[in-house]
Order: sequence, then C-alpha cells, then structure tokens
Amino acid sequence: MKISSIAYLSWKYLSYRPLKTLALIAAVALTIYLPFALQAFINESTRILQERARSTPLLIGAKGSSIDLALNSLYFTEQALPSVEYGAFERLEESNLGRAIPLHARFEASGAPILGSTLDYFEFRGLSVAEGRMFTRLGDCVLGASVAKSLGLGPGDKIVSSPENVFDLAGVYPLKMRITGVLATAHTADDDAVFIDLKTAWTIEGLAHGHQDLTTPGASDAVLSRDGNTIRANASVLEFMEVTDENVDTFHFHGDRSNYPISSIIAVPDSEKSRAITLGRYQSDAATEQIIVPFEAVTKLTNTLFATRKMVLGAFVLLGVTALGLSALVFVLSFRLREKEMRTYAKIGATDFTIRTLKFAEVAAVLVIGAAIAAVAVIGTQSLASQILPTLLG
Amino acid sequence: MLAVEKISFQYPKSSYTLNIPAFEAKGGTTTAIVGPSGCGKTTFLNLVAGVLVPSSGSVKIDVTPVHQLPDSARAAFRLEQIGLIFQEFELVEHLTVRDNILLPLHLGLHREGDARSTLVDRARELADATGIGDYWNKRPNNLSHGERQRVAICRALCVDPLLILADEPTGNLDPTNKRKVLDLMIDFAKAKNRALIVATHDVDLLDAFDEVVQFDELNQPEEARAKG
Repeated sequence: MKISSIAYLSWKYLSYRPLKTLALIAAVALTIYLPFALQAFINESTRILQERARSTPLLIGAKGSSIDLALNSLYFTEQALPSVEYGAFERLEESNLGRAIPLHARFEASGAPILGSTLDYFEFRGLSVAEGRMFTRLGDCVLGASVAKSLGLGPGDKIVSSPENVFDLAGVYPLKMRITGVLATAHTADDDAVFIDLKTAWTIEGLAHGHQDLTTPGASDAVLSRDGNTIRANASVLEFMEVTDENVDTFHFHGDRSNYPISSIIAVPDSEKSRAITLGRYQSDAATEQIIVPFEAVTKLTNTLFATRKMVLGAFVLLGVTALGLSALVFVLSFRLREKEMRTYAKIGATDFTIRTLKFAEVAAVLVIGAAIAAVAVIGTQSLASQILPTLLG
Repeated sequence: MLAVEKISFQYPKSSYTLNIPAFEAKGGTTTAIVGPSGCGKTTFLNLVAGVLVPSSGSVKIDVTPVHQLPDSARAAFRLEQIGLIFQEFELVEHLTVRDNILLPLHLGLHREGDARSTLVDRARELADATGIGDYWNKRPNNLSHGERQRVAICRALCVDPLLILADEPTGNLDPTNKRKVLDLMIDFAKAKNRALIVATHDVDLLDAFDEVVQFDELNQPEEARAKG
C-alpha cells in the first residue's frame, strides 16, 4: 500500500466535505492557538511593563497603592492617589542625590493623557522631536507620535484640554494649547500622551490665569473699586482660555509654588549610596510621601496577571479538551456513517490495516493542518503582540 | 479456474447453513446462479471471493487455495485476481469516475511504472468502451443507474481479474441497460478467457449464460443430498 494513495484518498474525502473539514481544522487550530496566544500576550505585556518599570529607578508619590502610583507615573493612568506638593520635588532636588523629575499626570486632551513635566523628562526617556520643536512657553504642548497620528494633528494646530467637571467653575479650565511639535515614535506609553510644561499643567488646574488688563484706569468696566494694589472687579472680567503671544504676559500664578500639586516624582539617584539614602528618607512614619521601586510594584502586578493566566489557561484547556472531544465524536460518527464505504473497500480487497490507515490519515491530516495553522497564527501573534501591546498598554 | 469442494458455512448466531458439495467454473465460461432470495447466493459469492471463509471445504482459484490464505493475503489476492460487481454498485461518492475505476490501485494493488500507466490507460479505454468516458472526471451522483453500474463493471474489469463475480448486477437497471451490462461482462469473459459467475433473479437473461445453476438445489444439507 502506497502512502501517496492513502493520502490521495484521504484528501479526496476531506475536500468533498469542505465545511466539515474546515470546522474540524478550525476546532483543532483554535484549541492549540488560544492558550499559546494568551501566553504570548501575557509574556509580551509582562516584558513591556517590566521594561518601562526597570528604566524608572524610583518613584515618589502620595502614600497608598504602589501599583496605582506606578501605573499613573509610567502609563499616565487616572490619578488614583492624592497629589503631592511641588515642595517635595524641590526638597529632593536640593538634596543633590541625583536627578529628580516632577510629573503631573491628571488631565486629558481629546482622550489622551496630558503629562506635565520638565524638559528633563524627555532626556530621561530618550524622547526626541520628530516634527516641529519642543514647547517654549506657557500654553505650548508636544504630542506623542500615536496621538498626533490618531487625531491628525501636528505643529501649528491646537488641542483643548478636557474639563474635569463642567459645573466646577472654580476648578479645571479647558485650555486651548498650541502644538509645537510631535515626538518620534518610542513604542511606549509616551506615544499616546500630550506633553506640556508643569506650569501649563498648573494653569489647567486653575492655579495660574490670565485675564484682561485691569490695572490701567478705564481699561475695563468690570472694575468695582481700586485701593492701592488691590483691584476689585465683577464676574464680567474676561478670562483667557488660550495663551497667545499677546496675552502671555497677563498670566500669573497665585500662592506659594511649593504648595502646587504634582502627581509624583521620578528619582534617578546618581549612585547606590544616593539610592539608599533616598530610599531611607521616605521610610519613616513621619514621611508624608511614599517611595517605591517601580519594578517591584509592576512585578506585583504581573504576578497577579500570572495567577489570572493560570485560571484562563485552565479554562482554555477545558475548552480545548471539549473541542477535541467533539471533533473526535464527529470523526467517530462520520466513520460510522461511512461504514458501507469501508465495507466496499474491504470487499474489493483493502486489508484491515489499509482501512485503519485511511481513517488515521484523515484524522492526522486535520490535526496536522490545524496544528500548522495554529503554529503560524501563534508566530504571527507573537510578533503582533510586540507591536500592538505597547499601544494597548499605553 | 474455480474449484469449490464440499464447503460449508454458518453465520454466527444463525441456524442457516450453506453446504455446497462441488462447484466449478472454467476460464471463458459464464455461469448464472439462480434461486430465491435467502438461498445463499450472495454468501456463496463472498466465500468464493474470500470475503468470508468456509468452516470446511476448499475454494481454489487457479492453483491458489483461497480458503487457506491469511486475511491480508486473501485481501491482496482478491484485489489482484477477483473482480466484484454489486447490485447497489457500491461506488464511492466522493471519488470521480476515474478514481472509482482505479480504486483497487488506490487501495494497494501493486503496479509500478509502466504497469501503473498501463492500468490507468486501460481504465480509460474501458470507460470509453462502455460509454462513460465523458464522465471521467465527474462524481457518481451525476450519473444514471445504468452509467453507475458501468463504472462498477469497469472497476471490476480494469485489473484484468481471473474471476468475475457479480451479485445481482442488473437488479436496479431497466431492460435495455440490463442486456447492455450483461453483454459487457460476458464479452469480457469470453475475450479474456475469464470465468464469470453471476447471481441473478432475472430469468429473462439466463439464455445468455453458458451454464445456469439452480442454487437452492445445489445448496442442500448432506443428509438431504444423500436421500436424493
């Protein structure tokens, strides 16, 4: 008996029933593919999460969940912890233990998170401007590559920050910002963010504002009274919603900057000793902030993912066993329905071995094709995961 | 060609017993075996073909004691030397006319190189000769009853068997097709000097055969035969 003849007969039957064959192949392929694809996604997401965390030595923020602090600072997720004062950053910077970068990740613009920071952040993350230039004055912003692409915006365009609450008249103002540049693709969460200077973030927060000139006598009808440097005006005073070259000088801050809010601080100690000292500073009960090692926080998170993975993998294995069981049942029923055909083979002169081989070849063909499709899909998913996950996680 | 001696056979859990004292068929002769349903014609053909094995007695085709061959050798012998034709045609629906005729080749008939191409050529010639050449690449469900039976005959004849066994080959055919199909088998047997045994109910066709065996008379318990 020639293998080619058996393969030929098997193929003839499988191609005669294309829908049944495809359904069986799909069942086999999915059974193999799903657990491996899930594994690939989890491995890749773990790698990406840990990679960004590993490149961020220390994070300082309000006391609370270390995972919330890490996710907000690394991925600009919703700020779940209270803010810390800018003074905390100033004290850290004055300690000369290394570099400190303040982060303000609370607002959004067109669905993209806004990160307020200093130019040090760009240097620290290795971000460069691909188009246009970096922000230079209050009200400027640069866009991450993905945000620019998805919103179709570029240098010269404007983007408006989203108010947190339209009824909060004293709170977050929508600020129309001038886009001065677009960053080069970094394949990190930075691609999906809008970057502004810390002062612009505070302006959105309502801590700085600009309005029509009230100092010149007769400049506005809104002035109620003047008493030396104190000018009282009514609510008709025009507040600027956009910083322009003409009105930039009217913007001013109120209160002590040390009390201004930031969401966290990236600390980059310049030595192991500095690191130990920095860590030690925030260990005392009196400390109002917490310090975390982002890698440890993210590892805690990925361990949770691993536990979830085990459960999901278990579910997939059960589903797979069920799908394979059903496939086996389909084969058994199919062979039973084809009993007459097999008897004809036997009467003509096929040996039992030939008939068994024929059946085996049909099952094997479905399994091999299903496995091959699954293997290709898994390889595709692995390479795709490394491309799409940074965006998804961002 | 075919020599059957004192064979008996009984299906498991059945009281029916087949007893054939002797049966012969020479090359180039055509034999019809007739008898009522259930008299054992199909069982006899299966015993001769080696599909079933007699509990006693012998079946020899040429010099080969078919009844003594092990299962796989008996199957291989059947594939090479016996052409079987069935009432229900027993074509494989998912195979084309070509592949149905060449089914013995797909199932292990040993033909290599030139012998293989000769067999394929011969299958094509038979298909053309029997008027089904135009359906060469069609599946059986596109054919009429008469055409399907011709495919089954081509399948039996293309390996050039020593013995052709046909079980009610005309049972599902109209009168015109019955005669055509029978002539086809008889012509082959005569031309190639092969033995043809046909189990049939059809008395109108019996004049075409060299010999007619009343099977219910042949198949008698030994005691009954002794009394007779």
